[in-house]
Amino acid sequence: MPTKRILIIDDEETIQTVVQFGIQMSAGWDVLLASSGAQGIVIAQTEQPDVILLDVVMPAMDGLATFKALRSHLATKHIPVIFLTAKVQTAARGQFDGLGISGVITKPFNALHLPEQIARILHW
Amino acid sequence: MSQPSSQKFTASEAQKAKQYESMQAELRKQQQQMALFGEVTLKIRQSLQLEDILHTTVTEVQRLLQVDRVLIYHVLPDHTGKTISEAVSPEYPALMHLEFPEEAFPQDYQQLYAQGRVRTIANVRDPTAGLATCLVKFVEQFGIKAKLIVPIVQTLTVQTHGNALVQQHLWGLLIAHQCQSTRQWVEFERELMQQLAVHISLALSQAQRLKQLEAVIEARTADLQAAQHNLQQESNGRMQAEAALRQNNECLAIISHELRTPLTSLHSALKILATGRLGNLSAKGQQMLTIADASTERLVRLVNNVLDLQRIESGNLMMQRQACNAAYLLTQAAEAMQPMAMQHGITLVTQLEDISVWADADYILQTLTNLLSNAIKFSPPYGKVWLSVARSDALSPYPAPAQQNISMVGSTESHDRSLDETLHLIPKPVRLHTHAETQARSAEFMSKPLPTPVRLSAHVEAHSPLPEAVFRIRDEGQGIPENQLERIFERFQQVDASDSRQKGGTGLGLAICRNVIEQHSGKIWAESTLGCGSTFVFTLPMPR
Repeated sequence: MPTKRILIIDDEETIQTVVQFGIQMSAGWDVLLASSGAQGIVIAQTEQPDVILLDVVMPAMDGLATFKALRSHLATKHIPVIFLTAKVQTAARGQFDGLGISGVITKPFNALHLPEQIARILHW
Repeated sequence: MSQPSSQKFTASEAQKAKQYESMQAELRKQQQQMALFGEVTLKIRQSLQLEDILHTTVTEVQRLLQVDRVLIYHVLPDHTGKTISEAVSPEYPALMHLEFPEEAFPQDYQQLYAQGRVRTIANVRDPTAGLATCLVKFVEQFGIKAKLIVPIVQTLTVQTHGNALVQQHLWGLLIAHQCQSTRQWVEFERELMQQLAVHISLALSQAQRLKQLEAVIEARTADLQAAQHNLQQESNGRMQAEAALRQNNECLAIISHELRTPLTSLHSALKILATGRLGNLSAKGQQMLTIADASTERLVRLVNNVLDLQRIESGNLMMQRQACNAAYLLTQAAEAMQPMAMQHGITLVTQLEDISVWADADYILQTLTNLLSNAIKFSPPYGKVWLSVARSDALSPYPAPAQQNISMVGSTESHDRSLDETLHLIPKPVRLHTHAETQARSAEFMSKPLPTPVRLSAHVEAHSPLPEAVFRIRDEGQGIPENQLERIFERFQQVDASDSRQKGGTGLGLAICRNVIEQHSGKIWAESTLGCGSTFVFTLPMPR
């Protein structure tokens, strides 16, 4: 599998770090980090990652608003987005159906398994 | 009458005319008085307040009879008495609230009055009036020159020795005093006073009845209020308890939720550390890491379970039920638990039947893996865990050569157990197969409709009105004491908590299972023989 570029948008620094470590360690993919929706949108526009991992619960601009903003920009509308959420059941129960997101990964997850999960969701 | 004829009146005629006129005047006066009397009685009837009635009476009688004082004297149980209502001209002293000694009104007099005696005294000093000198002095203190006394009598019914006795009870007296002068009382005035006394008596009993009624109503109201208050308190208590429980559950959910983010970091960080790619740990360091990792996993499970249970119990979650293939569910669960079984050296033996169940597949899968995980954990090494599903009405009255779609491969189980032997432990352990076989077959389960349902000679609920699917998970563990068979489905009620903790349990698994099954209108229970093993059984409805 060719090297992928993953953007993680999460306000929790520790999550950013373990996601970065886990993905790099298990798949060797590049991981870009963003601490807020606004920052994430800028990075997504300029860096064009293969997938965006987006935390749902964030201060200021939450995951849903960030997702909508990403969809409204020409430069980012094609990038698949996977939600990271602690609300396991609502995620599994199609709460985000119809939004056009690619998938949901629920917390707590093992960062080492992320590449595998992402690949499965996006059929890589 | 024509003018000329009037001149011819004789003296006797004139006298007659005069008499006639005075008679007319008297009649007019009496008519007026009757009208007033009517007003008084109306007022008495209109008011149910005793004080008002009495006040109206004395005021109106004073006006009606043009007397100086009218009073109502109430006889007290100790035979003394006092004025309780009075209308008196301003120039004479008031008797209101003045208590009279018994001597002023002796008991034998009271007896006479109770029998209806009326006293008319035109002049208190007149010896024929029969007033004792001392009494004359006594009444003159209050300026009384003439008086008219009528009794106010109540007819009481007294119960004595089972007999109802009617008694005339002297409640009091209606008294008119003339102080300005002596007064010759006329029959009409006497009658009027008597009639008023009757009305007062009626009003009294009405007022008393009203009072009794009011007392009854008051007591009833108090009772009702107390009952209502109790009910309110009870309901408040219950509501508070429910609210507390709800808050508690919500709080748990929030905590569990909030725990997830740091848990993700902790969990991932430990997993990354455990890869050894960030540097090697000493043997002791590795041991510590293993403990941290295992504990984190347990914490993750606990948090997930708490959330699951809260969601299911709060009813926030709707089961999404549809027709699912029970054999497929069982196969999926067995596949999911195969790694754990291998780790414990346990053989999973499935016995499947092509049954459709009306269920939320995700939740039933969760229930099955939960029960399987328990069975594996509590099995002795190299033991077996049996999984089966069968129709509740599968018990055939005849030993049908069932069209079994599965065969036993690599199992040492006997094919030839008698029907009776198969009844209790597992549904018909004939033709069992190993998990490998199941896996091979599972594709078949999913892809095409299976042949006619297998008839298994299981005994379960053969008489139940609607057939159900009966799932069984049986282990060869140490078993569960009978008195704990129900309790284990409560939260944090493991048979042996320390044992369970060692095995990584959260104490919520079976509570979740029960909730899930009950939400499906199914039943779940455990059967066990100490030392031989346990069987967890649950039922699910079949699609109509």
